[in-house]
Amino acid sequence: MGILTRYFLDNLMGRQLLDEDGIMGLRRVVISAFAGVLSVGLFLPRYMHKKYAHLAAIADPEPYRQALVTDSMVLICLTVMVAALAAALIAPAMYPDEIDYVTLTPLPMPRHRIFGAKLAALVIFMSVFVFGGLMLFAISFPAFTQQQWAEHGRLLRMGSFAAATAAGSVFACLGVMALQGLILVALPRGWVPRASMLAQSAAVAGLILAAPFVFGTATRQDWVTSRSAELAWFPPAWFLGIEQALLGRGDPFFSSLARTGIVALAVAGVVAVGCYVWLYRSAERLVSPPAQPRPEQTAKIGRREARRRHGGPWTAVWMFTTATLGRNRLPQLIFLIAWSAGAAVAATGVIEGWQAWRAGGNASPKLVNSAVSMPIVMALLAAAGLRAAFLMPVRLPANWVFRMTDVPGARVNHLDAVEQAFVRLAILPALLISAPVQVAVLGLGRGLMALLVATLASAVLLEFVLIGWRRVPFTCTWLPGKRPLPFALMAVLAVFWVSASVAGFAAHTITRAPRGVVGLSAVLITAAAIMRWRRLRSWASRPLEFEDEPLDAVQRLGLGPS
Amino acid sequence: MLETRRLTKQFGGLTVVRDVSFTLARGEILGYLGPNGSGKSTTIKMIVGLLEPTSGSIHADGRNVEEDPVAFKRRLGYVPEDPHLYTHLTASEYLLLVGRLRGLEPERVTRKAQELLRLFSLHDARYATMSAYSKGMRQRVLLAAALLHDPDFLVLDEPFSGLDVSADVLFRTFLRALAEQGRAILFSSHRLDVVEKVCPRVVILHHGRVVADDTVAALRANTSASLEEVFADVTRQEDASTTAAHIANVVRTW
Repeated sequence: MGILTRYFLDNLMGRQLLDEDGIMGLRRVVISAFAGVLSVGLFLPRYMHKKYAHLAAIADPEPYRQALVTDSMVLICLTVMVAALAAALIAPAMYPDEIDYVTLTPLPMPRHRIFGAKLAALVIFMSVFVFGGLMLFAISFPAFTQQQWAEHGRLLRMGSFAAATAAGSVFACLGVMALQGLILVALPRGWVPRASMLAQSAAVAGLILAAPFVFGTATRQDWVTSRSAELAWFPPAWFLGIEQALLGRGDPFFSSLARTGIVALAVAGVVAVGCYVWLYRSAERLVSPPAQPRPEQTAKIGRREARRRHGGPWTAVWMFTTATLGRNRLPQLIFLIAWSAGAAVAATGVIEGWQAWRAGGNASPKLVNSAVSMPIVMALLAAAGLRAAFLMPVRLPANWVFRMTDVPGARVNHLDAVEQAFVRLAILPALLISAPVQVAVLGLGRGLMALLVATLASAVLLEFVLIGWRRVPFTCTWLPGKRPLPFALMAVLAVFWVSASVAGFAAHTITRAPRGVVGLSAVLITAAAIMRWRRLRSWASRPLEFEDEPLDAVQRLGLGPS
Repeated sequence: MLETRRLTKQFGGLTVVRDVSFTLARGEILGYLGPNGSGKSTTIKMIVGLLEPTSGSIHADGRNVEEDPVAFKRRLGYVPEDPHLYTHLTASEYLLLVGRLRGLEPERVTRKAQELLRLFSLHDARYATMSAYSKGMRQRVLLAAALLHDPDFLVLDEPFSGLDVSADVLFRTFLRALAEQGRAILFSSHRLDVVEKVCPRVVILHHGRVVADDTVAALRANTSASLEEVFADVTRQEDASTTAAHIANVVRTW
């Protein structure tokens, strides 16, 4: 591998963002996460083998074969989504940028070497996901599900499934690359950063939000077996068509899906390569000065700014926080991922509850539970995501302006603006989105009770998220993996369990003994008030943090004489 | 008056600044010079409160700033060595941020920021994010930010880097005008030609120690040389022509 390719690969893996301590911390997190996924993954073959052995014992071959097609679809879906997510996360680094151009063009190397190295790094990076998917599913799935009712040999199944998952993953990568390329090629240069960030955020949030719905529909056996026409609009189904075609199934429905898949793959490939070639030929575009705002835009911005002319340090931190979150890719992505995950989990619960209610005909406890817990789940994940986003440093050397103005009188104002950011960006949207659902499911009276409990629970949650927080967002150094991953996960699970228990208890109280809501509210108010009092006391007395410190630094127990 | 008394800074076992003492009177522009790594920026960071001195003290109008660092910071304007600012903000947003963080009255900050941007030739680009700014434009934003609150003390670390010739001339004249208003200005720079034109007095640092503290005229009178030659002499710089010949030799033969 050439030195230039290795440099680009390092950049794709985010090495620029972290110092050496940060890299070590991140390495610990990745190894722990990999170990966790591996240990969970070991149960999958066993589960598959058991399921298909059971189906093979049935005299009729149809259930086995239908399950095989449906599970193929789910696994293709999973690989396509993982590849698309990985591609979306590195989308801005897919093409050479201004820094690459300015740094490398003056060196004695032809332009094709720079572009070639960037492309090679991209291919290597994406191959990890494509081949990871292949290794995980393409070999193990056909191997562990092969039973007497299988229509094809194990090797043929492995080959066709591998081709289908690889084609799906490559399509996902090329699709993202084509979208990013079109933004670079078609939009004025001044618009590119915003448009690229918007597309990336939308893609990542959309993928996460869609995950429960996609897997929910993909696992519906009737969707595939009934040859639903909707499948023509569902990209993973195109690659299921390719698998079935390669297996030699002459079914016109699957052949049509396979053709769509091949055409889509070719179109994405042509657009992506076309954009690469276009950028190669007009690389000067990367360094052309961006257009200044036009007079009418300037006037508009001026009017907008005039409306924000009031307020002191609080407004300064609030505006800095929102502008930085809105204009910086990484923190925005972290927040959106968490927010979308919360929304997806909450929506899945409500939709499943609603389906159960429709099937059962009366108010299902599951639906009530989901409606009550919806704002709490959304607020929990959004607040956790926002906290993680706020930890990301943005242009650290510029934080001197906050260091120089950290004075005791203004500090509480600064931190109060941070608290408001959590309230307005994480908690309020969760409550506002959930309120109509709660009223629709529980009726007006009980819906408002549920909203009251959710508001108070969110207040406790906010205090929990702000424990130990003494930073202006984005201005402090960050050490990833300070706590071992299992501990961090246990903490998250504990909070999730407590939140779910509160939501469950609230659902029970609201439906069975509404007067109990008073007691529950009193407990939540007391907890929130105590935690808030402690927090404000700490904020008033201790300076802001600008340096993250490792937990393994010497801890003083304070047991000896002072 | 701003005064440092035996200011010392150690990082681990390494002493970067040792017993640095100097005074800076109201209405004076003091040149703060030294070769790379001599401890100039460390001293400046201690004065503005970004680093804590290991020992020694800083006094403003006779009072130790440790007694009330907040009051001192209110009277202090600072331009850092590199144009470190939040480039995802517009110049207008940045000045409002700094003004608000300093607790200034918002209406006044807005008016003053707009006027400073106009005078510093940044008005047309005031609503573009600073990521698109040249180094000189960013430097001007930092200068404007340092002046927003009408400071008594100005600490400028390489304030003219990246400025074009006309801006350079303008800002030199402007600094003199600020000094005439009674402000104390500490001016750190590598550009001896600028220092010579702007600063009547200089302090020269070498290996963390003050090796010269006098008026430019007196320093030149003692050695009858230019400030550049005085600097090379007191900081024991190698003869530039000998070093240059060595470098050229290495470039050709190694």
